[in-house]
Amino acid sequence: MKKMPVPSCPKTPLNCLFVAIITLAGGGCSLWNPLTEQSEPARITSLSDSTKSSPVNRKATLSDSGKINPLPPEQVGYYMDVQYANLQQKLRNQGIDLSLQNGKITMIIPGATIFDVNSTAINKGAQSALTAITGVLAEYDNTMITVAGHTDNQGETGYNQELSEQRALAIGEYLSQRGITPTRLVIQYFGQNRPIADNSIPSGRAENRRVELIIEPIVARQSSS
Amino acid sequence: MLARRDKIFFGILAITVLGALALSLLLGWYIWRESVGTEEQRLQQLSQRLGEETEQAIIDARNLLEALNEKVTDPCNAAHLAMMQDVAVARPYIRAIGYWRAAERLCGAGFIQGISFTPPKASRIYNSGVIAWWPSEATEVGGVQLFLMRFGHHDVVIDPRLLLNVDLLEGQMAGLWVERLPMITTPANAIFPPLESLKQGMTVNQSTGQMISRFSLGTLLPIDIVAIQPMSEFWKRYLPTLITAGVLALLLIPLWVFAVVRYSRQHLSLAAELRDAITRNKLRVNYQPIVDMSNGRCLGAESLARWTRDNGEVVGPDIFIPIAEEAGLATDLARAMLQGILRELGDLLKQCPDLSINLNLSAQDFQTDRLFVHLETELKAAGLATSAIKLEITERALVDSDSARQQIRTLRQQGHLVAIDDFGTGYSSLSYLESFELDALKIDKSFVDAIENQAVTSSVIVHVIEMAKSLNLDIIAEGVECDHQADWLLSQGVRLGQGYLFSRPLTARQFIDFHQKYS
Repeated sequence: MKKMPVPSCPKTPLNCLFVAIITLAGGGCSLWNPLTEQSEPARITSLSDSTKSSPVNRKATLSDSGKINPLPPEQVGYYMDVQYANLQQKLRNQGIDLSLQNGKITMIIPGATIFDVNSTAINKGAQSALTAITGVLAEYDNTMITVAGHTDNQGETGYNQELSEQRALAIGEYLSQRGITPTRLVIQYFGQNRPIADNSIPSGRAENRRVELIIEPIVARQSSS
Repeated sequence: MLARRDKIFFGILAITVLGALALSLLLGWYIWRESVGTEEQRLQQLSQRLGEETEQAIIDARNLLEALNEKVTDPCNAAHLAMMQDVAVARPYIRAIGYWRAAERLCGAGFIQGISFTPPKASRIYNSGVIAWWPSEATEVGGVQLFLMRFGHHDVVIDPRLLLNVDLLEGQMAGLWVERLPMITTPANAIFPPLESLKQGMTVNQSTGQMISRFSLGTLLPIDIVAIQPMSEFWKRYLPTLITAGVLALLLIPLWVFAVVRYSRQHLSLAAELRDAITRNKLRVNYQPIVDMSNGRCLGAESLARWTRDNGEVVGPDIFIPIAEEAGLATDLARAMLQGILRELGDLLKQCPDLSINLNLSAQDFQTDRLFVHLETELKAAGLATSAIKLEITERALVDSDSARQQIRTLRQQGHLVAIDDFGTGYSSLSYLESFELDALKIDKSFVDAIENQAVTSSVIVHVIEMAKSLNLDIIAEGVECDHQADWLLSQGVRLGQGYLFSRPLTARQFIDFHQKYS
């Protein structure tokens, strides 16, 4: 697996501020919330505090090149609604959980639909779903996409960290190779630290092995537009 | 007597009022059925139609968007623009069709060119990927709030005013809801109560004087149509019905009152006249001879009342006997008859002790002893034996009471013979008849009539005869009109008979002659 460049906090290309970069645990960089336009501490920091022995959360970026156009604030609601509907139409019956909340679209892709067990190589079977997602992301290009890898609690913590990172990166790479500007991509990995289901039962573990795609709009500052 | 008259008066009044009330109710029902019922039906059919049209328009729009998404290869080229123009013009409710990339309208066709709506919040996002924005301020253009639908890269702008056909609603206030969300109202600024507060069907709100109807349709999309009209409008619409009902009321109620008054006046005046005729001895007595059919001898007669009014009109007993009973004059009538018999035939009866005259009694006569006291005293005064007067009681008048049984027993002990009249026309059974002490049974004319006709009915008369024999009663056949009947009756052991074969009813004078001839 090719290692990605690890840059420091980037400068903002426009009047909007965002981060699409790897930061190490405890790093001073903060994440710009494009909806509220308020600065908040990166989630990574607080998470890693609770598990000091092994940094559970890292960010990786693919590239800092490219530029993202911000949306006029009055169009954001429409933009996200239409994008969500478009995804819903194209991801019907693909086993992907899709939701639109607080102006963010969240896609939960079960690991089994993209990867074989313990593998970081993307399945052939996942092509249609990923193609559909790529198509929508390419059309709706005023967004930032966070790709987050998660595992269940089986096996070693370090291995799980690694696996979730590699899988998130694999998807990020796939998207960037198919025309999604790398600047829009944020890679996160959490290993087994953020379960969404009960790890003590097989179906719960299957749910926890997943990749999440979170789509957030990039909004122009009202005062400056 | 006055109390009785009052009772009759109030009875008539009650009948008049009840009849008028029934007529009013009938007319009320007619008005309701013809106006409210018809209006409800009309609105239901109208709502059904509007709802179906709306549903059709929405489904059509969705299919149209899907077809455009599939057909477009080179967006915004001439062919694509022409296609959008064609489909928009073909549908009156479509105001615009657009081709979009994300939130940017790239091209389109229709009446409202150059406007791209991007409302901040979708009303509905369907699983299919269809998104809809119900009319709101965000979709307003030229004062009209429009309905938006987008599927894939195309969107369609629908003018909801064209979904609610104003002509069909005839100026009523109306609203259309799709998926419980307001789509359009007419007039545009109309204010409706919340949809959830409205009942299905038609309701009348008395406090606001409005008639509200709500009809729902739920084949593919839940659609509600609400129509509100002031009651005054409603009545105006059904004015012809109201007029018809009013004219009917004006016609029928007085007609009814007139009929009741006329009938009761005639009845009351007849009763008064009858009372007068009884007290002034204006009733005449006729005599129907009873003969021994074996030898033709006259054994007696049944007395019959005859009433000729002052104007010369002859009133039949079938009319004045019920009037007499109703007016409580039956006993007076019987007493007048008795006096007439004694006055006319007293001498004859004295000369021929085995001759007897039958007097008809009614149920009223058994309510008191009044008549029987008279009977005794007047016969005594005339110097006649009690056997001179036979008493006839109709089967229906045989009231099942111990006092009536006791009265009959007393009458027989005094020496009167008691016959049951019109036998076979009531409902008495053998055992019931057995409980009375009786002397004779008169077979009704209807049975005698049947003798020459049918053997089947004749079997009934055979049964009656056998029953009378088993009770040891004398039998008198009524209404014997031909030899054949007389012969048959004689062969069955029935000796006594009366009827036109022997004589018509006679005056006292004629009867005396008849008796002389056949004694």
